[in-house]
Amino acid sequence: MRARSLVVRLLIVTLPLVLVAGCAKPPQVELDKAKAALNTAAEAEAATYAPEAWQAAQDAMNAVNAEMEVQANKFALFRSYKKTKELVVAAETASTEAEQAGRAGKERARQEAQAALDSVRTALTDAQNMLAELEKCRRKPKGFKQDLELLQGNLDGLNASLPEVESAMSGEEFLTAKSLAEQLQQRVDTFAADIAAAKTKINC
Amino acid sequence: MVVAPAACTDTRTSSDFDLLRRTARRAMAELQAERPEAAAEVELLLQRAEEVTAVQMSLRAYRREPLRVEASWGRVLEVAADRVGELRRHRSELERRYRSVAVEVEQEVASAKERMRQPGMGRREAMAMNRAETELANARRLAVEGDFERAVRSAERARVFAATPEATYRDLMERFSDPRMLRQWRRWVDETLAQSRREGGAAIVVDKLGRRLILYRRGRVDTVFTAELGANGLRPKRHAGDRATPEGRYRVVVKKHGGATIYYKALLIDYPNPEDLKRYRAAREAGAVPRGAGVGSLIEIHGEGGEGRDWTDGCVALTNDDMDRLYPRVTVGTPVTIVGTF
Repeated sequence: MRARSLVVRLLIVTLPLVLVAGCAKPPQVELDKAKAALNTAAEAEAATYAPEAWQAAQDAMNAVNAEMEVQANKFALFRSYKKTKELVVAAETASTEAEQAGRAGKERARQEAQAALDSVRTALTDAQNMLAELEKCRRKPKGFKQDLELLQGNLDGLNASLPEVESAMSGEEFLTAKSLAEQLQQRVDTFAADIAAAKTKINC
Repeated sequence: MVVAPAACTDTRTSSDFDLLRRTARRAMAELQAERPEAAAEVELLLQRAEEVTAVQMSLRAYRREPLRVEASWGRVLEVAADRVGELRRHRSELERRYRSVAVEVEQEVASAKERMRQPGMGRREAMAMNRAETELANARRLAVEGDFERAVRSAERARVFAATPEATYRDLMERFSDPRMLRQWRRWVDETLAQSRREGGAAIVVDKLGRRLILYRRGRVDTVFTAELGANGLRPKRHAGDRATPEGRYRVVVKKHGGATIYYKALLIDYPNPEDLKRYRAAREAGAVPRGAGVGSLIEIHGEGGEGRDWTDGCVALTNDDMDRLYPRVTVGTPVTIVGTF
């Protein structure tokens, strides 16, 4: 009887401790998921195309790591990962949002770059057609052949700048591709205006 | 005696840590593009500082060690400042290099653009000039964006392209200071003037480089006219269609006016002479003549000039007023000598 009540007393004391210790495991599965989500966001180039969302995801993961460290420094029986779990969920959500924002941002950049590239290709074709029309003009002022040759050389130079834009597109450097395409567009537009002025001048 | 623990004097607030965090993040953002490994290094130190801070803040005040927090954040800021400083010094050096190169290249491109106004510049030179201007514009844009490394590379490429019109111009002008050519041209002019003195008649000398047509009478200068040449007029004529003005000794063979010419008035000369034919055959054998191109003909001194530039297919053009003054003073048989310069 005395031994039995001693066992019961021991159980009453130790059982809660065992239960508490059993609850105090770091949420490793969730943590691994959150880290994987951050890596996915990195692969989606969130740092380039969604820098604010990326930073928020990094800060959220840092908060998880910090809380993990806090708990690791406590005596095992006093650890609680309830807050850690909440932070891990928030970090995974932030990473997922960063990934989505990164993909959306990249796609947007790709579309804008493609539109700029298509526009400049059309402009170059139009400029070539304008030059061909100029060549067919009935009125050919003095030095016409020479001027045409120089204009064709100019157009050759503009066409030679296109591969750099295309290379940036195929390398998925969409921001660079767009910038280069817009710069080339300006030069082609100026060239086209020069041809139009020449045609007007000679009443072509 | 109880010594109050240092922890009791820790007064950092969360906004202080936010400031430290933001400072570290700014440094990482600046490092990311060009020094990603340095950005990662600062990120790791930041993570560590966050962990140390979190652990310390979770302890009771009397157990905290604020110096550990100070040390960890201090390390973050020290490394961040060091890496950013290194990057900025590197950028300053690149910027200095770019500024120095850019000044030179701007001048070279401007000079090349000036050369493009000269006759003898063709499609190849125009393309090179266009590429030079594009690369220079790229260099300026990259410099504004702070990417001086790529700006320098673009500027160097602009320099390479600008060298093409410069080289063409140099090749074109070289022959005008060649002593052998100068002697030959001088000899032709002297022989022409001697003939004019001997015969007591007119003679025409065309100085291509000086863009002058000089009418001599009895070996003395009578009138000097401004002349316009072929679009490639400064080059020696090699074949039909090259738009070069020939050099050599010729004579007027036909005088045209009215409906006989579309150029107001014209003096047809007897190009090609035997030397021209000899040169043409040699060039053809050397493969320097385009397929189907003959030696050329119908080189004239004619009117409709006054364009202020070289534009003909190889002829020498004067204004109509000047043709009115020249035309009656020459006859069929008048010597016409065309030289590079004299």
